[in-house]
Amino acid sequence: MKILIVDDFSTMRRIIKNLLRDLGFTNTAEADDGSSALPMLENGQFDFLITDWNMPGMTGIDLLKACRASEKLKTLPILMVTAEAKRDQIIAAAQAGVNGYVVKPFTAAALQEKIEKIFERIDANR
Amino acid sequence: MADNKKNGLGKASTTGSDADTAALAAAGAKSFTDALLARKQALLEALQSDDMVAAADLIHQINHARDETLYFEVGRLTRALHNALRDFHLEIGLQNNAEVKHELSEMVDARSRLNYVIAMTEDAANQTMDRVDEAAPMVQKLVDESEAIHREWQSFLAQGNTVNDDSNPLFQRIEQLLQRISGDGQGIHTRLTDILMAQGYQDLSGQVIKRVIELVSDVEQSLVRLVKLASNVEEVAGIKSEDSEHKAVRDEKQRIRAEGPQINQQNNQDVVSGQDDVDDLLSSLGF
Repeated sequence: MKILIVDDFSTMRRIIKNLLRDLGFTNTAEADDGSSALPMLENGQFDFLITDWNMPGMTGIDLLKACRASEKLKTLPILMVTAEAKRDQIIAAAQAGVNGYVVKPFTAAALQEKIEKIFERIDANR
Repeated sequence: MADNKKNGLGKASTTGSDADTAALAAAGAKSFTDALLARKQALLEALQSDDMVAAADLIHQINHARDETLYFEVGRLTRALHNALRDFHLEIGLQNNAEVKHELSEMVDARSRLNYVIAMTEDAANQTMDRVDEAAPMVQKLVDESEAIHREWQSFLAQGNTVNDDSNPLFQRIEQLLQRISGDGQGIHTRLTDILMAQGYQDLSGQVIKRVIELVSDVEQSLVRLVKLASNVEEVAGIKSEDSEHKAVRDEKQRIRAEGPQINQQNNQDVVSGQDDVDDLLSSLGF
């Protein structure tokens, strides 16, 4: 299981990376915005994407849309972990095809629950 | 403050002058409403007596008063902005001279100070997480070791070995200690995770500070625009409000624009109140 963590704040990338390590996911990579993440996703074999929304350069919502428009990445499971908390934003992310949405500040348990739910659903659809 | 008002646009102005500023104040003293009221009777009479030339002239005068009011408002806003910037510098101890001469360049300085805050909090958060990363394996090792000894101890007893006196309080205490290391080890690990999660403040506060940096930039640009506007009566008189079609397109983009953490969550109906709300909203969308 290879996971890409995208957030412009290195602090948050480190937090998520540590939490994933606790959950047993040790194969992670990092990017600081959508435009650096997209080529990594296109060229690497990632199984899961966790992305922030508010980032300079390419935002998380644009990265989400770019993934869904890509033949290779259209089914990639994507979890958004963001401080963006407006209903319109959450609806926009859902319509763009996000698999889960966690608002900051979040708890370790919340993140774990969302990740597990995403994989349960994927397994069920297989 | 009074000294600053006298200077009006001060050195920040590239095209305006003190004379313009004085003219602004004089024009503004006569408000649009006053001008309208003063001509009400004359305009009614002119219209009733079909004197279109006189009526047109009166309407022109009222329009002129409106332009002057607008012009005065621009001048007032410019001064207010100038004062706000000056006070900001005073508050954070940036005044090297009695008069602040380089507002715009010092705005850059204000931005770099805010960036410094972000860098400092990032450094603090990283140091905290370094300690967490060091402590977590120490605790884990302690727990693993203790559990191994506990297992050996149990099987030692299970093999029929006895320690002569089971009621010896020392053995009981060793047994309790081994159990306790396991339990408390788990508790410490949970708390270390909590400490890790709490470092999320750096991201959240950083996003808010970045918004303030953006605001400072916007104010800076607005100041430049206002200074230009205030120097040109024709430009001001020609101002039109944004046409509604253009505005609708912009609103759509604005609606889902990334904003960072919500500062005033409870007062905003558009904002979810927590993860439960997010889950409810998503499940209402069929998730």
